[in-house]
Amino acid sequence: MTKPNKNMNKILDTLRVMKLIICLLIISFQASAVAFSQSISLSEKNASIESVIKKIEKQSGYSFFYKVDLLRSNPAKINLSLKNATVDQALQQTLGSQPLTYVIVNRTVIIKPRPAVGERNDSPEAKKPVRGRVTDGKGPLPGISVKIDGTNIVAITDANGYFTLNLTPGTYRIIFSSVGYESKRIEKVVTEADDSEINIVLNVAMMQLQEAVVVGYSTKKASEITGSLQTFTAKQLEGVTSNNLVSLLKGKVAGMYITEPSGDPNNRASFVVRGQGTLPITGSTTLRVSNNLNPLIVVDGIIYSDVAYPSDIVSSTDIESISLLKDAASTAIYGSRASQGVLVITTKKGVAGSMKLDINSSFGVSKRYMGKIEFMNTQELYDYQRKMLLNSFKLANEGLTEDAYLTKYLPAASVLGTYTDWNDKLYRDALIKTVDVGLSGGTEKTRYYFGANRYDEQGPLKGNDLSRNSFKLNLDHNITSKLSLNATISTIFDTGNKSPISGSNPLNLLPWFTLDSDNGIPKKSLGTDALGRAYENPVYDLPFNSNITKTQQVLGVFSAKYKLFDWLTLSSNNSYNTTFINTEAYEDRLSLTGLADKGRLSQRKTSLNSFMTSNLINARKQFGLHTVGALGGFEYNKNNSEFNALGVKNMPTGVKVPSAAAEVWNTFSGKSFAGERYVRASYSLFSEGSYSYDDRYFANASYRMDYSTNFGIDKRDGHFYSVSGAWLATNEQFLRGNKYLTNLKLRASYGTSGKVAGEDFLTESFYNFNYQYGGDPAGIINQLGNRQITWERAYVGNLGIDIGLFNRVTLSADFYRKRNTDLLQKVATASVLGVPSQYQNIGAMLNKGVELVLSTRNLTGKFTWETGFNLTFNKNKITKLYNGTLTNGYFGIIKEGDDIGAARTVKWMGVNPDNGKPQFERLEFNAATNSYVSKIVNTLDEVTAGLSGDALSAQYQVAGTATPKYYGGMVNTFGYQGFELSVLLNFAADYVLYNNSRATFFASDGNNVLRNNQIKPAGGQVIWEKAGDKATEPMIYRGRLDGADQSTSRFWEDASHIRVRNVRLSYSLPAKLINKAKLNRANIYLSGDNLFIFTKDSFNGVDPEGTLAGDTNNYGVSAGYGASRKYLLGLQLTF
Amino acid sequence: MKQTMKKHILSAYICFAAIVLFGCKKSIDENIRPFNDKSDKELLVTLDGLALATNGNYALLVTNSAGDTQYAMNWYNLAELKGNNLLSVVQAYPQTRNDAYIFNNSPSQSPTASFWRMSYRIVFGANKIIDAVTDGQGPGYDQLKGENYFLRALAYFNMVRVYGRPYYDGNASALAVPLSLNSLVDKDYKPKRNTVKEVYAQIIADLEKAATLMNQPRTGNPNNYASKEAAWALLSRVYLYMGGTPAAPVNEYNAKAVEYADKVIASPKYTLLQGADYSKSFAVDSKTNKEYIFAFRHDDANGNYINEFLTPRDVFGNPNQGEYAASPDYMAILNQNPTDLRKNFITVENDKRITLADKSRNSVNKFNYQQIAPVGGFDFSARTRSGTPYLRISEMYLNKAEALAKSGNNTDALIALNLVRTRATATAWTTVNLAAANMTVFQAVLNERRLELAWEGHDSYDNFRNGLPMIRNYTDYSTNVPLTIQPNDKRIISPLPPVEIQLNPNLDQNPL
Repeated sequence: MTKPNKNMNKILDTLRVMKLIICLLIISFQASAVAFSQSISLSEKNASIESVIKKIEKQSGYSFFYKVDLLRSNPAKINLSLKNATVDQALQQTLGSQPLTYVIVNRTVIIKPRPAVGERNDSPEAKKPVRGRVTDGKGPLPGISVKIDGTNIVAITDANGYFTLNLTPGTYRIIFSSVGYESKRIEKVVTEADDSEINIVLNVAMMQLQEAVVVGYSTKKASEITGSLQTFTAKQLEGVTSNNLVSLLKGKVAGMYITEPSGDPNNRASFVVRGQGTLPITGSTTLRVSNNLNPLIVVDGIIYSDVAYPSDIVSSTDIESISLLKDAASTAIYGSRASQGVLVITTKKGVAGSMKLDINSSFGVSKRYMGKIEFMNTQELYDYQRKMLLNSFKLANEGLTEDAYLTKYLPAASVLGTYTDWNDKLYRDALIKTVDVGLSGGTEKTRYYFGANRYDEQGPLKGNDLSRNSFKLNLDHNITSKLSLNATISTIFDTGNKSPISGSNPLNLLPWFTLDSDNGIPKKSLGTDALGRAYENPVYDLPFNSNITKTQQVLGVFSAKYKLFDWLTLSSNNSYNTTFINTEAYEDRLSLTGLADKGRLSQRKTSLNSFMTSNLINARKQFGLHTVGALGGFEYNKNNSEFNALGVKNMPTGVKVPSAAAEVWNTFSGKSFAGERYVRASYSLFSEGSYSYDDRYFANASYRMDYSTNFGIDKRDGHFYSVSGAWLATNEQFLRGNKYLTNLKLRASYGTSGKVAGEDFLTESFYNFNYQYGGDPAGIINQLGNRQITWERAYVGNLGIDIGLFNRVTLSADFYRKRNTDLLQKVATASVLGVPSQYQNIGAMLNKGVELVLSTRNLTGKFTWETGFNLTFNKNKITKLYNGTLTNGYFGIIKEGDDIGAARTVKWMGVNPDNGKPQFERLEFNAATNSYVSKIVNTLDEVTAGLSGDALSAQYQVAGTATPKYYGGMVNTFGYQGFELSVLLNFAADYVLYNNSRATFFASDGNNVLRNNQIKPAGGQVIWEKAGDKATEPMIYRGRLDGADQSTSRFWEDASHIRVRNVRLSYSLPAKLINKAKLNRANIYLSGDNLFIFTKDSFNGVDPEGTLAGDTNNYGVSAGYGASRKYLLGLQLTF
Repeated sequence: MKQTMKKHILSAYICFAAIVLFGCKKSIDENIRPFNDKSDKELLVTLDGLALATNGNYALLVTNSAGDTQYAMNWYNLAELKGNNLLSVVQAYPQTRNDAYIFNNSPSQSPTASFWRMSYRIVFGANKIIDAVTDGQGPGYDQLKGENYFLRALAYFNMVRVYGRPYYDGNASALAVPLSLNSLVDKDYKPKRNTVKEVYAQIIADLEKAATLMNQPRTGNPNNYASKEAAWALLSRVYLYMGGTPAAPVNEYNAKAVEYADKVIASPKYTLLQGADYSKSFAVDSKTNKEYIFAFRHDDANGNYINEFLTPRDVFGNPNQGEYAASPDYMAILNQNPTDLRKNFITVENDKRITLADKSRNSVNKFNYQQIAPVGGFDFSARTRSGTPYLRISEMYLNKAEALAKSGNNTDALIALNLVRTRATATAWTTVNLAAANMTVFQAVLNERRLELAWEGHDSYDNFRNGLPMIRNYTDYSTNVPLTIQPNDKRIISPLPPVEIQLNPNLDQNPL
């Protein structure tokens, strides 16, 4: 009864020790600052082993692991005298005569009982060294325990993952195990002749992920975390091909709503964390206000407050891990810029040991995804136009006979012989090529990582390209055991091409137009439509014109860390970032657009630079079971930005330099030049305290003060704080080692963070001089000062639970409540104020939600199957609007109590079956019953006629919400003998999208039917033709003024969907094969992105990708240039 | 390392931090100021700054700003398109551009929203300077202050005509627009609409004040800036609008109209241009034009959009412009005198978009001076450098003639009228040929206003303020029947922009 228990305890003890070793190893790699001293000098008399060991530990700087009882119970008194001895020598002298032995792995010492003599019954001569290597499929795994089952023979892998066991010939069962990895058990027959190496790949055990997580300004073990965050490693980001990090997270991250509504590789995804808690500032100059819906971006400890997209500052191939901090426990320390969450990115660093070279490459094609949309062919459009014209004729005959009327507006019947599918002419099978190389290695003293990346993506629209070349060099050097330095230099060179495909609505040109004339020469003009509008050849300009944006960025980070005491570290992080953006639009004199001006060129050169210094004092000390940590710091940040632009015209063909031009081109508000600049700065003080007891109870508190140029001189400081705690129940005695409940942790947090308006000096009224009159400069008041303006604030409460079951299932659930108050907005003011808008704190918003992250290992044998699932519910409500309503650009009016994404619009009531007229709902107030009575009217103007105030705004009813009520993703990964298949789905449901192209592509106004090719009615759409038709669309005729073609609820469609975002089949070549090529890993894969989208029947667009309130960047796709479908073949090699 | 040494390092570090932080605060508070903008407190204290800000108020007349389209264009649209000097040739595109023409008066689809907003920006800009300058600070200061009184009056006068009933109607008691006269406004400022009478009273007070303050005339391009004479000229027009209908004239105001017209006429700065000078007077730089008392200046940055309405740029048959041509009715009056110099402002050309068999149109080329974008490109903008004539010397003669005619002094009225007429080499009116044509002197004056001031934003007001209907005796692209709008029609004035009513619930809407 007792023996198995003892064995069990032994195993558990060993595991526990291993766990600690791994944690420490990883942390020490992360911190990469702990140096070691070789010289130990000791003089001891009658000392206890424990005290001697402690002294060696202190002098060496090594970490020691042992069971306290092991040393305490040893009565031996040690006498020794050492001078400048090595750790090994010191330990040898101390423990040599004792029943104790030790192992040194890297800089960690493990002390354990010396195996009994009886267990070593084999003579050393008979033993044969068995070598092997453990990897995770990519890189070596150091510190893995390699144990012969049923014995005490253990080896630990070195920094390169190698181990050696000395075994007598025979059959052994070898167990490879380590915390954080799944154990593996193999059978090995050791013979005299056998020289084969054992190569083992261990998979990460998701249940026990005990990795160090970068949280704010400190690095923590997963168990210590009290807030809500989600971390991804480089491996977990694999899947979708994009150079945009945010795209890689889509479908995988809970609590972050990501929308990327374009197939243009230059277009960026928009994203919000835990529901939109803020309003985008609309109508500002792009130079000063970035899209500030996004989370704050922090890379390797440096805050990039002016960077909106992570891909602007770091190439995704250089990313080691990324954490999304969601609640105040983690974000409050970032203060005034963190109310939308924080994205903490850690880049790759070198690891001491042999050199490692990774090469990844992929190649593929990208195609336009048309969804359900189908355009009419020539005959179909002709017939449709004819029907429409007959309707129009009945309403207004223009004094013509029916035949004359039709002749006038219909194309000649001869066009029926021609048909051009414009999709084929404008879109292509676009190529994608990527190569990235990572080289890393180093010694204990100096470590390096060098990354190089080339990314080439063509958009399916002809002439639409993006390419990126980036380099990153990361050097760590330990000057002494106390002082370490880190220097990082990275450069990013991006070149993006906008398509020169031009002209009015090239996507839906009339199908009877043709590109080439009879003799094969491309036409300049395709012809005119029945209304006399001419159409130019949309692809004529392709060889001539370009619209290129080049971004060049150099980023240098220099950090130093000094360990003043064992428990106290000073560190300084300094970065200087300079970005140069050149946008050049060239229209050749031979092109259609450049013709009139005889060629023209405009250039806009923007240079941005920012300096940031962040200085920290970090303390951490353990008192028995109590661990206390504290940090304090300050930061100073200054950003400069400037742009200059010029326009010239009349220039020789192909010479794209201003000096070749003969004339100025007054393209910037009537001037040939433009330019602006700004400087802003902020400084901050912050501190954090943490306490934990026995790895069971954890508490954290933080405070930050920010002082910035954002508001006026009297409103410059903002204060932010958080408190949080956690209870790791499975570390309690009664749950420790429980086989079923492997992890149970409860977390709670509350705190505040803020948001700035983006523009500065908001308390003052400003004249702007971007104007002129009578040949002289002129100043116009553009900003009305607001003396009451203050920071926008988020108050976030979070409750979380982490559960692990049977080592197979982990579940994290978070419940949050995020209240944003004093929302900042550039408000359209009543005109009597004399300025178009003013920055005001206009209201408050509440987001409540649940996030679930579930991982399961369904099958673990030869055939493996893992599932990752995440689901986010979010409910948004505007709880307060100081003026009751808010006019929010694209979405129209929003009222108190609405969702921020509420689409308020006049309600479409379908079509009158008798006459085909559109029907709108007019709500008339009945004072007697104090309620609104619905009335159907046939024109849009009648809906609002004679109404004002509340009665007027009541007409704008909620047609739905533009952000989904819930969204998430699921990834299923199947593995079998080196094959791996992963399928990523993402979904978003219960939201509406404005189908912005229906006015032209599926037009209600007959003039548009004459101008543009039309989409075939689908999904139950019926166009009214004759009395009695149960139609969904009104009678179509020319010159409609009834408002059927205006924005009403008619065009808001249910966009709920499931997208097959990525399917990836990969095959890892067997170790036997690749070892000969000196390879550690060779992996080949096929990947497909955006393969299919399941939508509701009532959705009639290309892509149901949604939008965010007021985001002028992306407002949904519906029928435009949606996300493209990509097919790729890739190869990953590790040497 | 010794413990004490370490403590020194730590305290040095903390000292360093303290110094850096102090420096940061100082740097943020004192060294960082905006580069592109200047605060009102900084700008409005020097003469140069006041001139810059005043120039900004003029710029608002001709600038697209903050999403709003040009004031000059919208004012033109709302004023001119309600008259009968124009004929719609093709569908206006966007359709909002014919909202005033077809008297649709859609609150959401007419250009009133931009017009209203820009009007109040001019008012606020003027208020800022009026409040910043004390009377008698110096002739330069007074001149600028006076110009801003003038601009404020101009803005209110244009607004009261667009949103308020004519002065004679209901004893000027109808609602016009709120009078905002103070630069210290905050976001809770939600005034009600003042009456037509109150707004006119304010306009007169502002103009009289302006005339006394403006004593240091601009040099270089005086016609593009306000002047003492411009204030008098506008006063003459304002009193003319207050002068009642021919049936019920208010002679007190008519006398004032004559008085101020005479003051301007007496000035040596302006002359009725003669002969060829007159024929091309709108196609020369506005600053040298002796016909102009005040014209909005247009340059490359702030081009004149009126040509978009009036002249087709038929390169690719783009329907965005040239929607309107001179009306047949107008042409009939013009053609009564074969030698009339004003025929030079009309070009007969073909427009293939016309749906009738006869594709000829009478394009108004009056303002076609130096197009900004070259003809033939895909930039369909037909902006020009022509000035927007707001006050002209010939109007002064016509104001005088009308006021005299309404007061019963037909003899003097004819003298003033014929000066304008003979200048255009049209036959002078005499009591004899008037009797033969069965016209009164007043009708002759009104006809002459139509001819002389066509497409300068007078036409519809000249009918409605006199209690007369606006009659289009022709059909056009949009209608199959001729249109008559009675002076008591609710459609003669525009609705208030709904967004303004949302933002300020104290505003009452006009009858829709």
